[in-house]
Amino acid sequence: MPYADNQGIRIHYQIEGEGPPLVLQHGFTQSVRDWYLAGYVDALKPAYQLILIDARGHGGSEKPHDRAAYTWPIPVYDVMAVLDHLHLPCVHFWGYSMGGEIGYGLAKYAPERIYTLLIGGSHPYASSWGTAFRDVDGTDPAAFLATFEKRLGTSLTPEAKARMLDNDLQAVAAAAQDRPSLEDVLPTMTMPCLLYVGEADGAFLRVQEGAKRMPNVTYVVLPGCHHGGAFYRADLVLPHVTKFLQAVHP
Amino acid sequence: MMQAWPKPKHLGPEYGAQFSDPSVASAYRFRPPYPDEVYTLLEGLLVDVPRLVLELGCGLGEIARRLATQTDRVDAVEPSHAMLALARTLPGGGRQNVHWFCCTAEEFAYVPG
Repeated sequence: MPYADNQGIRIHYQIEGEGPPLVLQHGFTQSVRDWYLAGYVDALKPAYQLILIDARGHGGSEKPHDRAAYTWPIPVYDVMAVLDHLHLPCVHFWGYSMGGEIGYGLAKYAPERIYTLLIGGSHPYASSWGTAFRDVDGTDPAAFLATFEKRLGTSLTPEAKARMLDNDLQAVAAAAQDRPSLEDVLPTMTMPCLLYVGEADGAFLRVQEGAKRMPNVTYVVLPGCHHGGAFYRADLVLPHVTKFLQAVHP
Repeated sequence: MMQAWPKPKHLGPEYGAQFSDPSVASAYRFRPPYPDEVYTLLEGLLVDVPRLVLELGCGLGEIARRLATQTDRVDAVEPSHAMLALARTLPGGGRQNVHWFCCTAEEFAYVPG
């Protein structure tokens, strides 16, 4: 498996297709596999060079169990490490949920590396996942699941539960971090942005609030979708993504 | 895989302003370091005497502070006060042959020697 290194931590990535480079960054407890499962990879690889990245603690990347290894904004710089490793100065970046937070982080900490941003189900305001998982170290899968569902405000489907339990729960529990607000970056985000969110996503109002302050955004609401479900609705998401990317990079 | 893309149109002064934020400067310690090849390349360019280095947009002076150990003088230019304040405190930041300038590249007037 191909890896980049960020200060001694191996970050796994996967390349598919050829064309303008488009990074795909999954959400908390997901991995590159979810982009394949949802159908995004097959749909996009004929036109783009997809760079799928496993966030540290997830998928094929290294999985430290200490929380300090995941201090914000380290996950943002893990993306930079992959881009450096591949000699890619500038890319389209698409992140969902936690991956979207990394997208806002790139706009804040490494704006020179992104050509456009595509963000799903994610807002730049302060988040408190670290506080939510303060007493959860991942050694008890039931406690982990209960905390996660409480945080999401919805119950997971049996399939989603199975995918989640496939993680190194001690690593992903450590990866759950509080993040400071990045809202001051919003007015500076003049690059083309596509922002989408499920109508029933618990973060809907904050996503919408952020969208109002982004100067160059295409904002899309997915009817009836909640946070976990929206990711898997490639049928709803892809038409917006392909239209957006074709407009900025024909 | 190197891409030869034009500089994205959105990269203007409002973007540069992000680097004035102290939280961005303090986050730099998490950035992936430059590969050793960068220093090999730069050191290979140091052929004249005295050995002078001008770095524009030096950030925390990662390159400036390292090259200072084997050159006569390094002039490091960076418009972010937050970056330079931190750079001065890092290893090599107080060396006598490193000169920090808080201004843009366009504002910097270089007088050799």
